[in-house]
Amino acid sequence: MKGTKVLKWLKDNVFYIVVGVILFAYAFSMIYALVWAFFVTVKPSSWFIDTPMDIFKGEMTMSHWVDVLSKLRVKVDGQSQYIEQLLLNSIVYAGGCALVSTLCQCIAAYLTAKYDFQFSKIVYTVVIIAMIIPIVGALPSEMQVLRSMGLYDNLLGIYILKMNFLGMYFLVFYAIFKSLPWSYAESAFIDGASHFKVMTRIMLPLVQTTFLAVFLLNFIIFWNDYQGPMLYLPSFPTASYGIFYAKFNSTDGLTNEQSQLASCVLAAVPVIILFLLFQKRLMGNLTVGGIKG
Amino acid sequence: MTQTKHNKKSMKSRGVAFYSLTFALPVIQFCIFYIGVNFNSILLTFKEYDTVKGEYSFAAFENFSKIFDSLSSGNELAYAVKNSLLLWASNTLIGVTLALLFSYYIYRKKPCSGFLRVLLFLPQILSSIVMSFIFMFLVGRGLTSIGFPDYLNELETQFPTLIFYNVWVGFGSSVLLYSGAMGQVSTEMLEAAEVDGASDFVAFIRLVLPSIFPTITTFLVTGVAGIFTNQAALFNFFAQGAKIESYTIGYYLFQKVAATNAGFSQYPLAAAGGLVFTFVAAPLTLLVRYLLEKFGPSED
Repeated sequence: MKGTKVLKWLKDNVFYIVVGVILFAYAFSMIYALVWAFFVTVKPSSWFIDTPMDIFKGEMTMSHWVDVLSKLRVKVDGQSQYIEQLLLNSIVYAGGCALVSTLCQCIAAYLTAKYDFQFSKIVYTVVIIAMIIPIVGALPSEMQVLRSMGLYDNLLGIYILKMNFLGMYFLVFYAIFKSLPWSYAESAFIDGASHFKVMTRIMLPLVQTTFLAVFLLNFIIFWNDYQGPMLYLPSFPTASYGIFYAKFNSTDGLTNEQSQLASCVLAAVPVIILFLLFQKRLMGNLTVGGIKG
Repeated sequence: MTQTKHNKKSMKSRGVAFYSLTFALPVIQFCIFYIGVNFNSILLTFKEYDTVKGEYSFAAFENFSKIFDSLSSGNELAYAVKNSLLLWASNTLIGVTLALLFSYYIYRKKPCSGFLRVLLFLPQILSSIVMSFIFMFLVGRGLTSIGFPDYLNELETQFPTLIFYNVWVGFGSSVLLYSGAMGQVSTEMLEAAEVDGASDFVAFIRLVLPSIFPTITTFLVTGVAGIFTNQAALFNFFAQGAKIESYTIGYYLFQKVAATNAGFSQYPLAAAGGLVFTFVAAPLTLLVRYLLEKFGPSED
């Protein structure tokens, strides 16, 4: 009787069992990789040479972490920038780019959603077209334009480059602003408020939760980005670029592979902390429907 | 009355002024860095850079000739096109399929779905360079120590290993968005299907997938564009030193600008390559979107 019940349960849930097995196998591989990476950073060099898969063998050592703090560096015009400067550059780069990018998309979406001018329709169409039609290989031209405008290798230049309203988050903000009643604004206009005040004091605060979620997602993307600083800001290396540099460019400095992995873990810590603090917001309902247009 | 009309007119003109001033900077930025950059990119394709004089000169269609030569001679670009298509096929057939199945598992709140949802998102949170280095050391040092070959550095296994890596780290945000879209599916519809004796698999195929097809379309359409831009993490693993047999289009174009031996002389060739692939990517993306909308399942 019990056997029959078990068989029936298995038959009713075979789909989930198969998917669950694959999913748990994937989860195990991801967890194992991350745990193994951590142990690599706290094991001695002899362990890494002899038995790098046996995480329970060997003593622990903090020497690789000491290496990261003292030796991780990027040489810019002959001068070395160490971990504290790299982290500061990361905060300025990621924070600034995330802020201008999020703000630009949010404000553009607000104007497009709430001001029924012909230009708003044009902007919306342009965003959809830019999402659908890919442009390949514009990077050389972009570098050339940046250099010719004197915006290459400076923070103002990169902030201006990221100040565009194209992208998925425009549509996210647009959908939210479209759903907000305009009656709040009308009451404020009657009371003598300017359009700027209505935007900044009434409408933008209504989307602050989504704004924060998008800002955090953008911050994480820019924090993790090493190719952007490498290409556009060679004088302002970030922590992520420092990791890449240590592996591929440095003949001195951080040459030990375990120390390089420790630098990876160090660069990951801030985003993991952000993720744990704001998990619900980051994984909240940023939905993307179909591309209509 | 006149005062009210005057106030309304004044309000409207102030609205126009506010709208124009606020939009001015983003529009100027768009004109320079989207329209201007793409226009300049077209001009660049007809130039060549003289490294001695340090200036560009007119080169007619020479860059296009080099691109088509590379495509037809079985050289860099030929490998790049083949590998890019293989990568896209793997990401679509394996990656999208698994992402949908995992999303359904999480949506139906099966065991550990909350924890798994967080874990699947983790590779998106961590830097691509971090994930690449972990994978590189695990495969190159860890697995080789227990008798496995160095999959990343052997020619026959390098690109299949890269495909595996890209699928392995690529779930993240798509699972989040698919399960979010599934949350909009009517539970009454699923309950009715259950009452009618439909299995979970049938409900997934016949009810859930058609309901979230607009979201799937979005990913499939942007995935087509990814054929031409996806570097497959080659620069993370090898910088400019990847084997030619493992090139993708995205990596080929990127390392023309970013490699330490790149320079202004490579810009026109990269721009020409980009233009050629844009002329393929744009209609292909529109065609895929059209076909998916015409022949894809509908909620009805």
